[in-house]
Amino acid sequence: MLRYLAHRLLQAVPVMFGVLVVTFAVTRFTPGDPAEIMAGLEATPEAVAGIRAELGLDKPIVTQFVIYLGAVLRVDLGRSYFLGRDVTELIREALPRTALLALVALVFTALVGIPAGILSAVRRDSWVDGAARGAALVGVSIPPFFAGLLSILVFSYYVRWFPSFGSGTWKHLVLPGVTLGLFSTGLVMRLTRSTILDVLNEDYIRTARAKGLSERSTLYVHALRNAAIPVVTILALQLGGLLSGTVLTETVFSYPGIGRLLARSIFERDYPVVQGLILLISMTYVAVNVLADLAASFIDPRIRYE
Amino acid sequence: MRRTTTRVRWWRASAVLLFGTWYAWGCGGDGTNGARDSALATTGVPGGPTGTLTIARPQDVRDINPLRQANNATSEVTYQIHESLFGLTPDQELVGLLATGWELLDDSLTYRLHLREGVRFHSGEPFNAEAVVWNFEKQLKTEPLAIGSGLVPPYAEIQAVDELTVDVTLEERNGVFANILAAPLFMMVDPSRYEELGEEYNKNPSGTGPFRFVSWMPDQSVVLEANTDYWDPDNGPAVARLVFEVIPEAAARIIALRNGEVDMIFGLPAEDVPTLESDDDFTVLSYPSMRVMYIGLNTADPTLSDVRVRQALGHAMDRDQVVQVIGANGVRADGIGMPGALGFEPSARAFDMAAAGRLLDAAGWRMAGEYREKAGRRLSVRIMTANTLPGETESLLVIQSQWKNAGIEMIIEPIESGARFARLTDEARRHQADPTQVPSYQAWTAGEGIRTGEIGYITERPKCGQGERGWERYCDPAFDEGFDLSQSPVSLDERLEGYAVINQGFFESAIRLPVFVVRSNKAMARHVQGFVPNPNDALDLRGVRVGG
Repeated sequence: MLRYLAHRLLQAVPVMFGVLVVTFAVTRFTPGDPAEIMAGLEATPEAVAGIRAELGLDKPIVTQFVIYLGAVLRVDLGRSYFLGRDVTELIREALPRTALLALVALVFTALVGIPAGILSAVRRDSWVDGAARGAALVGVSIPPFFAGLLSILVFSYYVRWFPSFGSGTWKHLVLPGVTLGLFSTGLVMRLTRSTILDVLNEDYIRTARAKGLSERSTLYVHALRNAAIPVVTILALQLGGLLSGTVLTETVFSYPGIGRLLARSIFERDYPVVQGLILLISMTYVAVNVLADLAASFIDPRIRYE
Repeated sequence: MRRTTTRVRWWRASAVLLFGTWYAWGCGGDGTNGARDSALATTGVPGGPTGTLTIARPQDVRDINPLRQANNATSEVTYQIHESLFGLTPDQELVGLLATGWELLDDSLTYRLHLREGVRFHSGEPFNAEAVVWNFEKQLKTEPLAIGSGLVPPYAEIQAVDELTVDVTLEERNGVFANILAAPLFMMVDPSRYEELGEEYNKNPSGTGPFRFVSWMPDQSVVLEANTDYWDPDNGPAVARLVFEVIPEAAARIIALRNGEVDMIFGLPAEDVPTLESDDDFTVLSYPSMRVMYIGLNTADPTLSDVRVRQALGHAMDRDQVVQVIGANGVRADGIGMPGALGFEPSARAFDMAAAGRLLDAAGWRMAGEYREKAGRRLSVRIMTANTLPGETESLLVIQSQWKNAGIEMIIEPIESGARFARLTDEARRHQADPTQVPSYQAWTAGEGIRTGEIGYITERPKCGQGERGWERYCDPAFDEGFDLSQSPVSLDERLEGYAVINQGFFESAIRLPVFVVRSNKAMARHVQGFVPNPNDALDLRGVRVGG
């Protein structure tokens, strides 16, 4: 297992290097000069040139990359052009908030998506199945922007249970968390349903039933565990998606996480922040993939990584 | 029938599932010249500042360092902490803030600034002539140059005459120097704090303004507290705490206002103005700002180099119809600037389709089907728009159909703001260096606001030799002479002659086609009192109070 882990981590090195190169290139070749944006229309060309020199953007592109790479190796992600603060400091502030939001979304997904999927499979073709599938369809198809506004209108304005914007208390997490989790909940519900239906047709389930096991034991002891592998894999991958996919949700709810920081930085051409956040998101994906594999081996002892 | 019933059951089940889960999650408790003194409005605050004023805005500050950033969203906040030497009243009258007045000495180059006595920075350091000298040098002489360096005219010498008097000797004569110092691009920063914190100044900025800095959480809020030692006790802060929240989504801002989570919102969408106006709980402030949206034209473009074509484009625009469509987003623009700004005169062409047709005929563009053509080429104008102003795209769609009636094709090219800026600048720079490299862009939309009370602020760039800022690629020595006269320290009558030349230049050349003056739409709860908006969007919150 340790060898497998080491192997996967080694594999991650070229992936992360690729991410660094691509992110650096994309930010530099996207039209728009941070010095121009920072200086504004009123600035003289001399002032713009001065800002460019201060930011190190007057150096050849290769030199800029080498400097950036060296800094990353020293865990120095640079300094935001606009916010005037270290990128690591900005990430340290925004990441816990987004992580918390993603966690709420994930918990909502697990608590609602999996039971609904099981129920739907067990009560196949009943009204419960229809309702669960209908809800799942709504979950995967409703745009987060619309769902967010709708939930603000209902739960902030009409019934006034939750604040309409901001962060800081558990109440601030509920609406954005649930909105963020709607898509993955629908996805997980449908996946759980289909995998359980597949498993229920397997020979060993028929054997279990023939042995006289109760339907409950057959379902929870045999079927569910075997159906859990793809579900857990998807859940883990969703976590990565949730971290990077918070831009719209954070915007609607004015929630100050990495999604909004990323969007703002892209518009302002704040290269160090964009690069730092893309690096973070990529690392999250890599880590989550490894964790999903490890979780699969934990659930199914037949899976062994050597 | 059965099918319908089953569907209803599905919906009920889904609703119960969703509501139940959300409920389970969420339920639970929980004298000299020009400037008069600054008493804009006397609002003595018996008992000192009380309460919290919370303002929701669509954008966050870019920085809390006025030397580095001065876009509107930023200066609305930095202006509470820092102040300029001069200010502009809502009528755009120049008034003293940290300066009590100015005089132009006999050499016509040296401005003597008289500073206010007894003013201190939030750090406790005195505001004096030395601080002003430091700010000038920091802005204009220290690399990297600060944000106001492009606006403030270069000076040859600056000298602290005594504790409260500064002489600034300009390199060239300038008659709007004091107006320029009133723009929120030139605020006085506390030298001792800046020297102490350097790049980290934005973590604890210090000015002389009515509010002190408390905290800034990017993309969430800026929190300020009343400066109880403010230099003008009769017109100081009336609230103890001032919070700027960032709520990007307009609908969410309105809900936050209705919920009482915030007291005031900026960027009220035009379509929501009537609804809130009819609600007794709120006051809507909808007024023309000092920002004009116009279509800029590249005179180096093969099609648009013919002045008759540019003039025809202006005649083919019915701006009355445009403002009917965009509603509370704007009022009709009649020139580059707006009434109230010094030097403004109408310079837009009247809507006249027949005149447009005659001009295009004379230029050789003949109708061929829906559009006009010349030598087999369609009369087509491609307009870049970043859609940064409310109503911008809608106005273009209206003009598109109007131009079509004149046989002109408008192609709207949406482009992200930063990319548009880069393209215009890069291509203008290349054309300046090598006139054979004609910029590929034809036209663009821009929304430019006046922050000095006079139109020179937004009319300089068409001058000859503006390089990367001269997007129109226009050069007319007569226009330059007019502009220079308008900015010179001669009599106002003579300066007005200069402004008239500028306006005539815009009319004749048709390099900028004014569309609409942007309306500023704000709403506030009834309990907010004492707020007087300024069309130039300089946010003066002195004397604004909540409750009672």
